[in-house]
Amino acid sequence: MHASFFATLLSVLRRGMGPWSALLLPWVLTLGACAKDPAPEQVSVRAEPGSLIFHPDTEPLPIEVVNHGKRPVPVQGFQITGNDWSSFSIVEPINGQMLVPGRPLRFSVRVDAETFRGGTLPSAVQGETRELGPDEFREGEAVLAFRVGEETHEVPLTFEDPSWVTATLLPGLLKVVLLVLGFIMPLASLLLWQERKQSAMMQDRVGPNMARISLGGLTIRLWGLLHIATDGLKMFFKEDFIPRRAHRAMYTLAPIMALVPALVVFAIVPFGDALCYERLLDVLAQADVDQCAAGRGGTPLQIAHIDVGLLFYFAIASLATWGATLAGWASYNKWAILGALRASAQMISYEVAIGLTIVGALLVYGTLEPHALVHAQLDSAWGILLQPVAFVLFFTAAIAETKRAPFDLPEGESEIVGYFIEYSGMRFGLFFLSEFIEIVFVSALVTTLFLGGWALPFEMFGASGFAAPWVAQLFFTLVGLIIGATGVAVWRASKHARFVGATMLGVGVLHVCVALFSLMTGWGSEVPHVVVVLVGMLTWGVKVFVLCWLQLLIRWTLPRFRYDQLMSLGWKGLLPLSLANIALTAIVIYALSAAGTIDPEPTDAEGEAAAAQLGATP
Amino acid sequence: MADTTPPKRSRSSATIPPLAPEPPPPMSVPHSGPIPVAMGPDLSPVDAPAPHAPNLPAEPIEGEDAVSMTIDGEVVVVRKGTNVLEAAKRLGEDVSHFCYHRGLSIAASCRQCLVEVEGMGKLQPSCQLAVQDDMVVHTKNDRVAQARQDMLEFTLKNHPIDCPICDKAGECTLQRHYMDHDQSLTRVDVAKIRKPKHKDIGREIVLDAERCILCSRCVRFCEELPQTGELTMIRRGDREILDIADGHRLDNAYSINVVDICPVGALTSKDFRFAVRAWELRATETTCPGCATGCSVELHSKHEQAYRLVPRFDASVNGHWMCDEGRYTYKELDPATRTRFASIDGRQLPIAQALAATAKRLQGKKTAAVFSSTATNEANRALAALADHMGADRFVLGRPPGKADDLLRDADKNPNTRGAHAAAGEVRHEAELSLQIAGRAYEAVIFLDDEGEVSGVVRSSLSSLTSVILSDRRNALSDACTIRLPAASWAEHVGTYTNRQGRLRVIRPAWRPEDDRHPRAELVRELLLALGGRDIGTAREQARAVAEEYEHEELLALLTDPQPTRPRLLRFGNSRG
Amino acid sequence: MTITVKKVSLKRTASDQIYLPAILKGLVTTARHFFKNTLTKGMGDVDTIRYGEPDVNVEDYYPQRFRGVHRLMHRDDGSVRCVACMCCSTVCPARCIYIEAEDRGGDEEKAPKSFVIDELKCVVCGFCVEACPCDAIRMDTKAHMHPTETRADAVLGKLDLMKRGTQSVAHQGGVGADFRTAAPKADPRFEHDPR
Ligand code: SF4
Ligand code: SF4
Ligand code: SF4
Ligand code: SF4
Ligand code: FES
Repeated sequence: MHASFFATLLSVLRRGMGPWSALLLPWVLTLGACAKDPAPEQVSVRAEPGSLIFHPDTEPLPIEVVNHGKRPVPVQGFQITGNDWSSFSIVEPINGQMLVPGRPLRFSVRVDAETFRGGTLPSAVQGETRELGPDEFREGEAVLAFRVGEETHEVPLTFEDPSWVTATLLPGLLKVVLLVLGFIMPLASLLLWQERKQSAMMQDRVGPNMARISLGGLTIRLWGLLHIATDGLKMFFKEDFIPRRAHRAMYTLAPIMALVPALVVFAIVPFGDALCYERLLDVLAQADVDQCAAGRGGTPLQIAHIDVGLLFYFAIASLATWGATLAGWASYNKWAILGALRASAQMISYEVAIGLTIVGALLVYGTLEPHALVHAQLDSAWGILLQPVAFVLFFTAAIAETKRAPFDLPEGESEIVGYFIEYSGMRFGLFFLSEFIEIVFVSALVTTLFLGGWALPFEMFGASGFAAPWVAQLFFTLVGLIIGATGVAVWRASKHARFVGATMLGVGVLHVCVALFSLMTGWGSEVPHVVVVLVGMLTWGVKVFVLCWLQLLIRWTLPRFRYDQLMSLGWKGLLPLSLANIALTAIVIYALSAAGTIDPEPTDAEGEAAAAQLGATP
Repeated sequence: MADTTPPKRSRSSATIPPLAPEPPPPMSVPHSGPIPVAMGPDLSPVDAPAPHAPNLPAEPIEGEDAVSMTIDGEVVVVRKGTNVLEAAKRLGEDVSHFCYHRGLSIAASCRQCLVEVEGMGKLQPSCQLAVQDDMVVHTKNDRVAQARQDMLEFTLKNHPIDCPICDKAGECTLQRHYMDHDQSLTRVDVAKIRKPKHKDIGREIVLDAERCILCSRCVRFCEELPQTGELTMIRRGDREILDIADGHRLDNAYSINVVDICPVGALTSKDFRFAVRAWELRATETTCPGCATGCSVELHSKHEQAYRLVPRFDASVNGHWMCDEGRYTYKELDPATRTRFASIDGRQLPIAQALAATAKRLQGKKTAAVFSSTATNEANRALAALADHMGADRFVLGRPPGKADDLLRDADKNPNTRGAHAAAGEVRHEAELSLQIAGRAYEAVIFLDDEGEVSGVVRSSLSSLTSVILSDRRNALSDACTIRLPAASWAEHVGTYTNRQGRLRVIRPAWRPEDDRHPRAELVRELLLALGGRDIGTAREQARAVAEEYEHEELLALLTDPQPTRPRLLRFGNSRG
Repeated sequence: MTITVKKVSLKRTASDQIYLPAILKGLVTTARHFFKNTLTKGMGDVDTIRYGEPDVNVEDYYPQRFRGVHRLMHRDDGSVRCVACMCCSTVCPARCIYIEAEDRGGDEEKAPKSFVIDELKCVVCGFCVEACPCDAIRMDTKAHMHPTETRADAVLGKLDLMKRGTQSVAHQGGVGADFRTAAPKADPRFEHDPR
């Protein structure tokens, strides 16, 4: 395996990097020579989740003891110790037994919440005490201990009653900052530039490249990226014009009405699995993450975990029509009102299609909650494989919702300019920005519904890390080479892109270094939680970005529809097709479940396979 | 001829430029001394035939002999005695020519009009060849075409091709013939013969001898029409040039006609020199308001500004010609002096308000209605209705008499003396008007036009009366009046004059009256209505009444279909001369 | 040589009707351009001349017949070459040339008293240059009309236009071009000598 890997690496280096490979080659060879096989197998038994956190209303929590090694080991001596040992209990008593790899020992732990209710607590001020009310609970701790061979394993059991602030507000803020300020806004602004640069590149033009910063003798042009800043400045300093006969209040409200729904819908989009605050550096199992996702000891990476998430999306998205309609009506301009009429008719028509295309996916995965949808995809297959038709239909209708070419009739630059024709300065900027935020949102939604959200394909990356060290090596090498080679190409393509190219090359080299590190140490299958979260979010981000790119590609490739074509596509094309998709999906699901091919409770096929493998290799 | 650069006349001057003293006319002048205009002028039609035009169109005249001949394979019947060129014209074939002119004798000097006549060996000048029965003529065959091209090449041999700076460009016969018949490049590679350029040869005229093609039209004109004979040809061959005869200058009263008939830009008018290019002008067929003759003219204008008057052929009034004085009447149309808005006591008002205020002031006052022999029949008739309604005393005012001669000019410098008097009926003497006004015998006075002379005393007393003037331009009289109503000038509306022969002469609009200007008849009608009088109809309706009265077909057609009243662009239209 | 007639069916096939194959084809085309231009040295097919870059001299790239802002040429004595023939103002489709003529004196006789071009109205068609019989007006300045603060600033007068002008040595009328100078200055046979 190593030989072929090196051969591939070398050939890729030679082709993709040209002269640059000469620099890297000796280094790669030296490190490659030091590479050794992963460390020998050790007995590794883990409790999953590694700690249990109870809230006043929690049901008994399941826990599994799993053998990740290759040999069966005995486990025994289950008992609960610690301060509040008396409040916790194991639901069904278990005895010691041999733990076979792939066949976990399952049981549940229960808490008696009433024992923590009321009472006195030592206050923060020394020497004083505080009386708890009848609805308040104190915190409690205990330990679930068991022995594996001679080793004693301890699973902390915690009881807590988090306040609204700690349970909802702070995590919410954290996620808003992460998502909106850390991702959407930068990406939307980037798209402002990318739209022009990408269209230029597609049309054999140069595109924006003149904005520059001069520091001393050094001129930084960043491939025109600084145009984002100059655009922003321009928007802020342009005349803020309001037509004399416009309805001032509505006119002012309209851009906000356009922007706010576009941002609010992001609340339901999961951009990662879950974050466990206290165990960032531990290697966690999926069960731990699930516990965090349920809000115990962590938070799902989704701003609002709403059970009817997709319905929420439909509700808010239809509000966005208001922005366009209000803008058109309040401007007192016939082109604007024409654009507004087009916008409202178009958005209403395509919302129907959007709603119906999703129904197919809902039938398959059986949930409306986006986070659960992603998990359901990870458990079966990505939506794009199970619902390809719905994917195409949904993507089409969603592009129509963003009011961009080929569906840009509400704007119709060539004939009516559109509902925001009277807007200038930052008010126009808000419309512009909300359009790009909508692009990001469409991409995010498609990622969530059809592209497996934050997950890397082929189950190569789970809650505790890569499936195997060689997967990590392959992944990092490939990603590193792609990014690095692109960086080199970008460097060579244009003088003004050198900084960008160099940065990309650096990132690529970093990836290759990680791959080499993994090669030497066998690192990869056990990754700290924080890295897992980061990789998940990055994966999600890359998917979203690629979809944005694809939308820009479509926008600059296809010509605009005529209005009747638009309507007939919506009502006579997308709508019947999505209905047909629903019917077909329903029939297939009914047939399969009647035939017993799919089962609500998936069997532990993997465990069986592992056991069989174990039997084959003593 | 020390000064070779002719002095350029100021274009903004609104008055008729003072003409240099005329040389003693070689012929007798019938009217000497001023004509007493208002002392019951003799209004019986004057028998004043148009100047003789020796060459008439070839249409056969009933009761006269006719000739039948074949031109380019077509049989045509023409008047006996006419020439082949006119006969061909009857068929719509324009035989190219330079020296032939219908209003002049035939010289046959240019040889541009050569045609082939069967049975005659050489090509014949068609202008000079009288038609004969059974003549067979070819005007288009190769031989004729070659002859034309060769003649043009000769003509152009020493021609300076000054077109960019030549005032004739755009209406030049040489240009037209070149484009129609030659279009070849020059084969001349020797220096051209130089001749005097821009030579000041008269009060009105500049000569460029290089451009002259020696057709002698101008020479014949001076000999035959004003019969002054100032122009002559000197030298021979290549070096022949046109010049003024020793001791003479081209100062006769009809001199600018030579500019019109000159087929090229050799003779140019100082007034029109470099003013505007011919192709930028629009032509309006109208009547010269310069004297009682009422010559048919074309008013050439661009952007509501007039640039010149040129004569228009009218067999019964002026033939092909007009006088120099008449040409300058267009200066009255200077946009700088136009009265554009009504003003009462020096305050500018919208026309509707001004009319109402005027009627209020006139109400019940002892009024003098001053008719004008420069205003149209319609305006004078309307004023007559107003005077009837108000019981006003009637006067007629006009320009003072001037020079007259046998050819065209009349001593009465007003275009419509006859019409004004006919409309006014019994009038009182002009001199009395001055006395009465100065003596404050009237409380109000209405002037129909601002032409006419009144003394300073009268002008100063006007300011203390309700003095209303229908004014199209600012002058001493209109400035003296307290109420000034903006009237359309003679280039802005349809109207009629009655000339000395008692003929109806039609004026047509060259552009729409701007701002608040309205035809006088219209203003008077409004006043009459405001004073509670009867409706005498709009200016158009009044003109129709006049046309019907005179059974004037042309005017009737004009009022029915306004299309012909629109000016026609000279560009590509035709070339005069 | 045989001629083969290929019959193209104009029927809309199923793949036409679902649009997707055609859309994908289009996307592939544009994506190919995108990647080629982004990732190959010298930006692939991009032929744009980088006007405005500090090291790019615009004039190097302008074709010879590029039409820039107008100029009026000079005579030997530095006076304006134009003879106010109005050919340019007549042919101008934008009607943006306004000329008033005056008498220059001398054999050229005519000269513009004022010569005004409203560069804002001008559609840069170059007809005026074609029409000029005197090589008096040219647009070969390779200069663009600068943006101006007011509209009035974009209306160039005779002196503005002559600033960029140089002496024109063009000959008029082909063979007999310089006939004026070639002819004898003063012919003793004429008593009215023009000079
Ligand atoms: S006379 Fe006619 S051909 Fe000669 S310069 Fe004048 S316009 Fe041109
Ligand atoms: S000046 Fe004109 S009209 Fe007179 S001869 Fe010459 S060309 Fe003929
Ligand atoms: S370039 Fe064209 S539009 Fe401009 S001035 Fe010349 S003729 Fe007129
Ligand atoms: S620039 Fe040329 S075309 Fe225009 S008026 Fe002057 S000479 Fe005539
Ligand atoms: S027109 Fe007949 S010779 Fe001139």
